[in-house]
Amino acid sequence: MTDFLAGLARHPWYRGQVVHVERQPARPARHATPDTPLSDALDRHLAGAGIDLYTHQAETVDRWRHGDDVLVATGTASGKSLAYNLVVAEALLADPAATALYLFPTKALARDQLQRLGELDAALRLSARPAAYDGDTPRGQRARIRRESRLIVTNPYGLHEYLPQFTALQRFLGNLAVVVVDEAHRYRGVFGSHVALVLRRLQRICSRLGAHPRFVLTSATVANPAQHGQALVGRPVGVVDDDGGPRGDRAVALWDSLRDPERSAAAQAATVVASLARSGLATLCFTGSRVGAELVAGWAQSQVPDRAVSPYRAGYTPVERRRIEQQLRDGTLDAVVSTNALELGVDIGGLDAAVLVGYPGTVASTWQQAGRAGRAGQPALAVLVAGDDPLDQYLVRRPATLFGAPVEHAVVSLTNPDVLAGQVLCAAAELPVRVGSEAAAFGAGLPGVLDALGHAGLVSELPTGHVFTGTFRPAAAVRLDGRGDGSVEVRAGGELVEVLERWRAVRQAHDGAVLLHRGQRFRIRRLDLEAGYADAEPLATAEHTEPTVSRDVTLGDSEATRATGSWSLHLAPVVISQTVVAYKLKLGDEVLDTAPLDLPPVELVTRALWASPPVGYAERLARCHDPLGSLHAAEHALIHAMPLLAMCDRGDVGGLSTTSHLAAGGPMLLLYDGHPGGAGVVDVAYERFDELVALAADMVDSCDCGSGCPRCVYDRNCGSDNQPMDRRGAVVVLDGLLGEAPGGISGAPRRRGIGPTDRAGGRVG
Amino acid sequence: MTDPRTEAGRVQRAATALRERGDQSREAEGEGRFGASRPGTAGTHAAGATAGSDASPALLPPWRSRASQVRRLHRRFADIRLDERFHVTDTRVAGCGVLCVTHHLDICPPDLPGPSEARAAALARLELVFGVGGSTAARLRADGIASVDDLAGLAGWRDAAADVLTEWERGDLAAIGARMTRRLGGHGHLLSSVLCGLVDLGDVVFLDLETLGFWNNMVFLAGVGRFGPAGFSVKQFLAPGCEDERGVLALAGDELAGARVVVTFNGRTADLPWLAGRSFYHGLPAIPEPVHVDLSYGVRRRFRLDADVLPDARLTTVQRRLLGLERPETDIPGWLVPDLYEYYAAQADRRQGILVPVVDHNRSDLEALAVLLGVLCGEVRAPV
Repeated sequence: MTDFLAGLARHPWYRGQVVHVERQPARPARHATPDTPLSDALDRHLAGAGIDLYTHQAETVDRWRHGDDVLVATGTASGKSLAYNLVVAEALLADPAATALYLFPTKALARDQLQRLGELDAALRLSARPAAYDGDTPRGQRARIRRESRLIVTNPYGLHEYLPQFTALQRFLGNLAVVVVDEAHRYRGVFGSHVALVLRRLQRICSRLGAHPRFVLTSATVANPAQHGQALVGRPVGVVDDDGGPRGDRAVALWDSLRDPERSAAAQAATVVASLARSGLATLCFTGSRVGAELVAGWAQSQVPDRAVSPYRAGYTPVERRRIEQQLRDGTLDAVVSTNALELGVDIGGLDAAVLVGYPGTVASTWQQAGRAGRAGQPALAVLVAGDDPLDQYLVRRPATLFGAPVEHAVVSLTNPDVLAGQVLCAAAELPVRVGSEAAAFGAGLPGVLDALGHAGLVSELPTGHVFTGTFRPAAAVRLDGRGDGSVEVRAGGELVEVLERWRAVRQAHDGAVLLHRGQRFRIRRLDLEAGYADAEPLATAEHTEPTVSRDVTLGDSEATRATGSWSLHLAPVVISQTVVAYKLKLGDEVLDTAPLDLPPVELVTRALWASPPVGYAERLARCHDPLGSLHAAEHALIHAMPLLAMCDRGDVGGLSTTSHLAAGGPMLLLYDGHPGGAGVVDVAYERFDELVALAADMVDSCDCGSGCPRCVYDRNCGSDNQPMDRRGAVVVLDGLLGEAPGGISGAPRRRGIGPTDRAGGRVG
Repeated sequence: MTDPRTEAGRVQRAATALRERGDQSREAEGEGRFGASRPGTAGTHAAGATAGSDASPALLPPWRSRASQVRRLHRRFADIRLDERFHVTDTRVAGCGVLCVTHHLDICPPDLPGPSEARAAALARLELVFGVGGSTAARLRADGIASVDDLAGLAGWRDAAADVLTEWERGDLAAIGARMTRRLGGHGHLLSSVLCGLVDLGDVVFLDLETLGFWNNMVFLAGVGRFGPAGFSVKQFLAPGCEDERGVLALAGDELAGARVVVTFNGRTADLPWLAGRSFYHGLPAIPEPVHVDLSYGVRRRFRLDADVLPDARLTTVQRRLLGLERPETDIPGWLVPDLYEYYAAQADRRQGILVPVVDHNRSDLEALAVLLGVLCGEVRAPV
């Protein structure tokens, strides 16, 4: 690996892009046995398979036996699935009627795990008949599974559909002992909020049927495993995060693609992949889109015609996927370029190197992808090819963000009115909802939601509780991913590129827009808001578009207020109404064309965090800086820093800054959650505002440009053309927003100073 | 109320949006799971459009939207009181009010096979015996084995055949019916109609439910019919409001508890699971399950193959095409039934008139069931 990195310098195409190499030394395994030995059958099985339990696996068993719900948050490939399989096996051995439910985020993951469960079932003679019960399960097999299986594997979408017919699953749910929730960190945002409430529905049904299952969850490393686990299952969970698994030598290289401005990050990644393949290193490369995977694979293959490079993506049939996995394992293939379909658990054996095209968006995903290299304990290399996104560029400047203690939080919002109303309606169709006893599960908003559902004619109140009295199937009206309310699917040649909320679609996917999706450019041919569809085509050229947006913000009453530095900070509902009136087509800084757009105003009812400074602040700021430009740059930096704090997608957060907002009574900085009703993002930002500000301040401060550049405060989706922009002023603003001394994340030098000249009014975002 | 700046407003918006999505999903999911497909929408029955327009075109032009159909019916029926048209009594059960609508219909009791004839018809099917498939049965018949009785005399089949005969000796209707449907599939369902001949006709109950939807939605009307000395009497338990479902379920449960055989159309996948599901939902004791004869299978098995006779297997079509009966002048398509009750329950003054077509619809369905039983039994006697 080191040889490979050292050898880069002799390539003519190398421009010194490797800006940081983090070496993670090998770590031996630590083993342990549970406090009370496992049953003989289990022991024999483990011994027969040559398995010696790691400390965290033994700890999981101990905590479970102690009566806890457990969340296992150890590294990639540390044997988390064995940890929960032990718990399940023990429960199923102890009670011949007991059942276990496995939830995986995708059907593919479920299928992969199923094979392992089949082996376990046979080895332990559990007669559990493990089966997948989801949309792909043939109709003819379902009755038998409902009747006989003690071990059912499904996904949250399936559970949401099957819970309303729980009487058919009465035997299974009435004996449910263990619920396994794998990849719990993926249950965040609107989807995660729905899943948390689906799990509440599962529990109340089980309880009615006389079962009280406990949960084992697994998660990637996040900053708040206990809090997230509790949010999902509604009870405190015991966290097992002391990883006893072994690790081989690993080097993680940060590759700054901007060192070679001539070639895109994807093109450079293809060269890295080709060169790794040429060195005989089995390589897995991750891209953000299917189209990207095909392109990078093609480019890499053309550079090493004598090696075998193949794309791999979710759209392939299981047979094709298995074949590619097999070929990668046995060395027929030298490199595979994948979408994140391969990010999760799918077992492809040991690989030498992983190449990530662009920052995957969360630290957790980065480690899951990088962790695919070096599975069996041998030395491995991971290369993160950072793109031109401000967040990618910040990681290039501050690699410690990636390698230090986790700061990102998995968040859900159990108070989102759309999510809560939908899930309470489903619950009411399953069993009457009792306001008094069920507020603990559904939250303090329950009575209000039931009232509203009553007004809409969907529930009636009986002495036994609120009952569903609608004429449809509630689960059909509630989509777990929160889509369906006018969200827009962007497709290129039928392939899904991205799904955008309406308010984002009008900005980023209007007719003629250039949409950037993880390093890939697409031109939007046509946007049909009514049909929720945008037709896109891949774009090879480097131009981009900037929308001109007119916006209006209506602030609701603040739900929480506090002081931060000299500013006051508010958490409040907002209504953002925006109209995209025109767009500019640009190549670099040159405006090629400006075109008007005829789009309807789009309203977003959501939650926001807003801050207002003390009286006279703008005037004082204006002595040295452009007040509006400073606020504007600070707003962008806060938006860019948000995904580091609250695992969310870039663009899930919007912002607005102004020097004179009527309701705020002066200057205002506002960040809003891009999901209707909010997904918990601004809530965590409000709680951890200092951390967010410190990250944003460092992001701004660590750049060496003048008033701002695409690496720091420019935002491609800015509705005001990234003008005005005052990077240094933003440092002052962000310093002023810090409540206490910075929490050690930034370590940025503090600069304060406010000088003369004036510029007031105006509004940007 | 829906001011998005207030908590209540946001929640109300969410609830309203949910309702809109729910109404859309009804169309998208194809309401016709049980033959109630709406013309022009994605029903599961290809013949939905023709069959739908069959339903009293004068009363309901099928091209009208759902809401306008409901308004139209409201205008026509709003001022009618149920007790002007029907014999209605009020009762209270399980803390709920229930309206009990009774009708006496002049229908001849069906000519059902008596016990010995029923036995002969059933035991002629050698496939009832475990291990006997279609080809074995044909071979045995060629060898002169005409019934399970004969088969019991063959050494290899003695025990298996004896299982069947024992069920008949014991008069175990549940076991006999279960064996028929399990071993003979569609024909078994057709054959199971002879079970009605094994009990007193008065112990046979005909059941048809009206619900707010096809997905375990509220049951607001349970109609039961029985033959008695005065002809066919129908009782309909109608919930005066959404809060009164428990009373309807309790009364329907009582009726089933007092019956030995229940006859339905599509009841195997619809009415009976709905009744059980809704009772469980409300925490009521489990509804006793009498022996069940679902005539829909027999109709499909016997008549559905010929599109000229029966373009689809919906009860209204069966009634008109097969039985030659007229639907009531007020008839409405099945898919509109939930809308009418929903509209009724949402009115502040709950004027009952709009339920007149629903009551007629249900009564007519029960009437069809009663006649259909005799027709299907006739088919069993003279197998083709």
